[in-house]
Amino acid sequence: MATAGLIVIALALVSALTAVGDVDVSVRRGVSTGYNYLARTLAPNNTANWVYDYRSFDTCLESMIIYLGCFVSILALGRGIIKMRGYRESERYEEDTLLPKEAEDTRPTLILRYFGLPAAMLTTAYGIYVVTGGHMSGGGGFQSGVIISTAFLLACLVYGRKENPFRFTRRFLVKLASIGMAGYALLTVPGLILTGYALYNVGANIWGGPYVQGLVTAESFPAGQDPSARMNLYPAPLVQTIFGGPWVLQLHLNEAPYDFFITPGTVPYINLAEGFNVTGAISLIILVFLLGWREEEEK
Amino acid sequence: MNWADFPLNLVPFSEATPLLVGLILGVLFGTQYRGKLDSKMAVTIFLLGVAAAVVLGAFPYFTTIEGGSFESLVHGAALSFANSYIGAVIGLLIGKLASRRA
Repeated sequence: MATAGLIVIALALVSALTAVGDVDVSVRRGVSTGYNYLARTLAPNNTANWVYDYRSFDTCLESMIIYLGCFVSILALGRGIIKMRGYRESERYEEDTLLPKEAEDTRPTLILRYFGLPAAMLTTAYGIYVVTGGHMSGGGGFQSGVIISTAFLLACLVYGRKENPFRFTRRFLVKLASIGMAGYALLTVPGLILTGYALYNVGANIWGGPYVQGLVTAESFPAGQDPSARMNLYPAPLVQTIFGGPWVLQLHLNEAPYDFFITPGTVPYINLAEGFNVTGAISLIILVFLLGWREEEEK
Repeated sequence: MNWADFPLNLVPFSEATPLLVGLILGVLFGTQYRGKLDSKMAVTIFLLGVAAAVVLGAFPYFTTIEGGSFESLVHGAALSFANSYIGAVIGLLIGKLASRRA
């Protein structure tokens, strides 16, 4: 596990450093010139993946910052709690004596007991729904992670520690967040290999235009030409199948005389990785801040 | 343009992808639930999930049954359901039952 983590970190570092090394002053604004070219002419009223590209990468980095901040905070607070527990035990301090007696008898009401579990499960399902549609409607990985963490928070507030229907452990949440971060780091590699730019959205095609295999230019989209006729200008069946095929969407637009086949490329996978990362990070915050940090919980 | 023009012809199945992903993620998170879940509660959760999926509706531009839209059956039908939400609910229940037996 540690070796795999080191390999992923090394790949991410190489990707980042290579990308920084390739940057020159002539880089045009935006993710791709093809996006900028089409953005001036087509702007349907829905969240499309070419718009998403402008903000998803920024959100991913924000979630990483949350995860790192949470991890450092938990390291500090967790060690502090452990030390305090050790000190108290050496002083023959019994934690239960400080708890109010009525708190032990506090149980959720009948409604909460029977409402809490369905609400938590349906909220979790909603978080999953949000992450699966983030590339074509409102939502995304960050929102999904927050919603699932909210379900966990709801269960914590209703059931407390002992009867909590979630059995999120610290180890599981750290693994979940780490898998999300590693997945995001690995998604930099295809773009780096195929286009020379880390995180480039390979496998995507913009409103039925050619697949973004390499960096396309405005000249690739001559005015008046049916973009769907140029779908296979840059054939890469394996890349298209992995990153575009499973999520391809047929668009029926009243403004267009033909149907578009649009793929979001790597965006759904980035959403999934980001959702894992945020779920792990925020649930870890809730777990430690609300329920405390106890070593015996992992046993 | 036909379905077959797409590389490896994955278009007919692509609208089922959110359903499958929702199912897999549901099983993953379903295994993280503990406690008792009797059959009445499971049926209640499923029915509430179906109702919520109908309220949410299908994703934009989804036109097939597996995508949650009835447009291909009844032209212009407004009724649709969120396939990934139902998949997630079913996955959660499956994961919960699987973790209880394990």
